[in-house]
Amino acid sequence: MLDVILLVLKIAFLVLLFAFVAFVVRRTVRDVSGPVEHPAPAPRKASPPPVPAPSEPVVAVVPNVPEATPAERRKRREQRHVDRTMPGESLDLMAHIDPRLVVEASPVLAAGTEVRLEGWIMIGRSPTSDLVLDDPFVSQTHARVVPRGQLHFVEDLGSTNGTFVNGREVVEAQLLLDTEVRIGETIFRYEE
Amino acid sequence: MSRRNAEAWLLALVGVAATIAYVSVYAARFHEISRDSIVTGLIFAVLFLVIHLTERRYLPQADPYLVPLAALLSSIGLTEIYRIAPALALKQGEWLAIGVALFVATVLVVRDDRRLETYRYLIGAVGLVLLALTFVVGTNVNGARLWIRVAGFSIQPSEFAKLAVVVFLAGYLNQNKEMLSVPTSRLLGLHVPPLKYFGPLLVMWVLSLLMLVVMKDFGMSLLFLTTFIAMTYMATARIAYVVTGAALFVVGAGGAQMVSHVHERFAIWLDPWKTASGSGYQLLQSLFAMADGGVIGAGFGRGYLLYANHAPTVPDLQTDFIFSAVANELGLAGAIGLIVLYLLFAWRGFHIALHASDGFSKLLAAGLSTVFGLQSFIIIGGVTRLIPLTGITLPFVSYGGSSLTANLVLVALLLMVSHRSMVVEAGSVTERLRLAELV
Repeated sequence: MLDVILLVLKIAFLVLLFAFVAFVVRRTVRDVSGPVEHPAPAPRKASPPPVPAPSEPVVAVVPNVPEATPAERRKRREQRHVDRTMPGESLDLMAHIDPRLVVEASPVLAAGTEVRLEGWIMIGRSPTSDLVLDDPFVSQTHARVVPRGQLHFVEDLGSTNGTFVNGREVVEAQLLLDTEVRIGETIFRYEE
Repeated sequence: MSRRNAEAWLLALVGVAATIAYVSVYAARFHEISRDSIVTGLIFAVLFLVIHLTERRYLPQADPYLVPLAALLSSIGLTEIYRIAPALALKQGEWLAIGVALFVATVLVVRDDRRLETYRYLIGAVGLVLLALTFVVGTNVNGARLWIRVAGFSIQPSEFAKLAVVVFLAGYLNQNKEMLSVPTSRLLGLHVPPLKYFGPLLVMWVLSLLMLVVMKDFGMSLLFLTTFIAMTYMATARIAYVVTGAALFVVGAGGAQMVSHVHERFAIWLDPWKTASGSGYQLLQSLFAMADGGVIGAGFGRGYLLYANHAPTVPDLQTDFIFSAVANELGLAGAIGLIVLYLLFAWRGFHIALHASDGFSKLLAAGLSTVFGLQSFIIIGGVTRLIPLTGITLPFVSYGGSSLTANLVLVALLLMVSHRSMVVEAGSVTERLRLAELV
């Protein structure tokens, strides 16, 4: 009898050991590469988004991206050129491009609003974000857009509803010209 | 699932596994399953509950897998030690309690790993003093001078010095990495960085060789050297350091061949059969023990690890050779499982390093993971005759208080780095404020 119990215990221990390993590996892989295996969920457009009650005042949200005159912008761009060029290096691919996210469709921002990508841009519902999206489908700190060298990347910050690039849920993706980024109900297009 | 809840579930799973393991050993020995054996499993669980609650309070965003991994490894270790020498298991249990206390103390005192950067020279000096102290007042055991006796406890300072050296290197390299990656002068036809910045690293190299020759601690010396090369490479991204470091190591090892202690280790590694009844006996017995385990082993408490007079079949079975004991009782499956646990630990460690928020934390986390992974590799490789055997503990599993407590502190430091990066990235306002107050 005891022999049988000990055999069962031994196998139970080995099973637990490998179950533990499998769990940690799965979670770590998901942390590293994002849920790549899953097919992209159907666009939420299919079911109509919850329409705010008509009596509710629609609060116009102005993104707190600093306003800049063309002159200031040019100055900033030149400064950036200086910042990013190593001594003795003159090639700057950024010199003549102007990376920005353009709002295509959104319940909270006017279509056509442009968000210039300078430094790290935090996107979320939290009022401290650089770009505030007051949308119930957007997490407090939802995503961020970060420059790496001369490229821009969008990174999901563990949001509840995910960040979608060209219809696929991503953890991190490079922004190429005309890439479509959806965060909550807002769709952006990347332009340079 | 929040990070801490995930950790709680994993710890519960480890608690079940630990209880199963302990109950098996107890039942195999006394032919009954008593309440006592289950209670002991629970005490183990309570110790890790303390760690878990400390994390909930002070490091809520820290990595959720490291502590369960440490818990699983130490439960396997405690069970095997209890299996081999019940009296030592009680002492190891006490050390685990001390280690948990030290973990909590580290979290409470340090709070944010970046505060260590300020004290890098002091910490580095403390590490060197610890090693020097061993040399001066240490006691000789098995031909190596590694231990200090303090108030009835045997302490192996090199285990703590290991952490101090990693903290020092992380701070030093973070500050000087730019200077170290630009060669300015030539020495023997090679481009070398300015001696002012490279000098301290050279001193480290000489000291670790001294450790080898004077203290005959081949394992720790190998660990220090490889960690030091790995961290320099990680900081500067210059492969030249790896090549030079490896070359210097070969020179050092060639010189060390002249030390009879080291020469003997090499001879055993190349052909243990030549001295099968003498110095090769231990390694051969270890290989037999592992072969005897088969695919899934005989189970906890049922392997052939002790002679009739309770002497272990492999000398030093509960310390250096504990991997062979696990491989004997749980077979190939258990041995692979154990190796994978170490891989996972190192993987999580480097994951934390990749996501760390600043240069010092990055190097610290990467260095600690390197030291942990290498230590596991050196001893597992040694007992399986992949590389020459060098006496060093298997983290969390081997019997030995210094190793256990030092590794718990290592986990605490990694968790602090992880917590910090998560808070910076996506923490709540209160967490950010709490962190900001610390620096």
